[in-house]
Amino acid sequence: MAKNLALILQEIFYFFSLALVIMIIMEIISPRIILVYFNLNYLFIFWFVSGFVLLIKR
Amino acid sequence: MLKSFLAKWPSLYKLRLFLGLILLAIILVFLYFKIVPLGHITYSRSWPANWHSGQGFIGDFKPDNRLDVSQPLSPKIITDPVYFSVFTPRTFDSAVVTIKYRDRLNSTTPLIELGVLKDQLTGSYDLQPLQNNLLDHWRFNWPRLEDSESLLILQASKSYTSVSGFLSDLQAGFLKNCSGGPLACVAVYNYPLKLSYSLPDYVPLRPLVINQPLRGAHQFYLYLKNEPWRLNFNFLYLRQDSKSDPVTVNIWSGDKIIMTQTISDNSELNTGKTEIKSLNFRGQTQPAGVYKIEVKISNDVVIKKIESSSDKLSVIHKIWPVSGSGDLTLFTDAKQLRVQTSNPVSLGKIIFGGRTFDLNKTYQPFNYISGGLNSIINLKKDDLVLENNGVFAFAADNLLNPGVKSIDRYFLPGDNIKYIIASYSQPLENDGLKTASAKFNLIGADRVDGRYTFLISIPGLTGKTAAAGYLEIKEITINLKGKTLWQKIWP
Repeated sequence: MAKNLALILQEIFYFFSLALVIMIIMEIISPRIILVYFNLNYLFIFWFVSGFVLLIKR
Repeated sequence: MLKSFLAKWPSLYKLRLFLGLILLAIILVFLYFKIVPLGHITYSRSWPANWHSGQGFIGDFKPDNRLDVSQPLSPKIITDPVYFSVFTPRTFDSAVVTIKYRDRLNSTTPLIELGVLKDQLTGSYDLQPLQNNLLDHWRFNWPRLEDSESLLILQASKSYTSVSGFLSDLQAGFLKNCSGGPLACVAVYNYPLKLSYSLPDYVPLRPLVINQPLRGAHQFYLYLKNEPWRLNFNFLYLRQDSKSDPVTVNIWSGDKIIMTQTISDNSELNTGKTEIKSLNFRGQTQPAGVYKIEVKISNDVVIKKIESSSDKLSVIHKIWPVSGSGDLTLFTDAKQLRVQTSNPVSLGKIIFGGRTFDLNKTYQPFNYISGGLNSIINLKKDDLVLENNGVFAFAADNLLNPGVKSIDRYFLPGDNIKYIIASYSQPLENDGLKTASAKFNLIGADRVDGRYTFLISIPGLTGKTAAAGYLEIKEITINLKGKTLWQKIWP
């Protein structure tokens, strides 16, 4: 069970990592495409928290 | 088949597929709102603001010192004008801007207008009406010949019973109860009325040289009548900033540009030293009539000298004489004058129509009303921006104004007006909140870094606090329309 949870947390961390990278690239290519709707700082916080929780679980 | 395929997949792959699809959907949604494939979208902003994560499309009002800061959640405009920007992810062809507001304005501020920046170099805005209390007053006090959404025709007395009869007389140049012709007794608002204009006593080939330097963009009326003509401009580049200063001069006949010339400029070559360049127009004959000359330059360029083969040359609405020599006499056909300067040296006495006025503050517009029938302006010092709804000239004989009187910030009631033609709808009022809309053509509008710049103008609103009057904005909605994705791919 604990192993599965760690795997899920890992996948969620990957998801936020990929989302962050893609959205930053989209912002560089077309400024304000994301920022006008959504503050990427929130995504960064989610990414950081998911990574932190993953580290603790491991 | 898909079910059996997925059933064989490990749970990890299913989770990855699920999260991948969510990410793909999020990206597609952002791309959809970037491209706006259907060609129309609506953005809005309300005050007090709801929580939102992003930066939003409609920016804050600027500058801050023209707002009442005692209630930051609900912006109150206390000084005219204020600006706001609208970010759009792509270009659009038209916009309908709807504003919900509450106003505490008085009789000195009858107008509220909304404008979009058309040309950053000259700072020209396409202004559209939101509220005109003068028209709203006359609408219920003068007989209405026509009162539809697109056209309002009012008459001081019931001279006409049909719109067609009025319009045909108007085009013929003869209106009932109007001895001086339509230009003398018709006023318009937001209505493009073009009337024929001629100068029967015009003497051709009487040249004119204007040696008075004029700073920044200017527009002129020039009268020509079947004659060989010339028009020369000398431009002085001040080089006070490092920006490039292109010069464009357009000659308009009616709604068409008939001649245009440009001087390109490369800011990298700026040496900090002043330069002089010139543009020369020549023509053999032109049909008799008024031509509009549009000089598009930044405030870093001065029109040093103008030479014209025709002496009928007037400056339209705004003139900025600069030279430092002073003792300048100007003529205008309007009874009102708005004066502003940013130069402390230019402060002092101004004589307008026989009355003496004291210009005692910089960066503050002063409105003066002529004391007599003539409207001669005597300036002891120049470097002043003079504006009104008429024309300016350096000699009384040079004045010509084919423009129809407009019910704008300079309009004085009782100006012998017998007819009013307008394209204007009164704001809707509900629970003390007014709602007004304005439609703009965005093709050719200035768009920098994806932002259109808008202006809210309340001429005459110059208070320091909300007690002197204010306009409180509650909501701005902007409905944008443009080409669809398919029209862009297959035009």
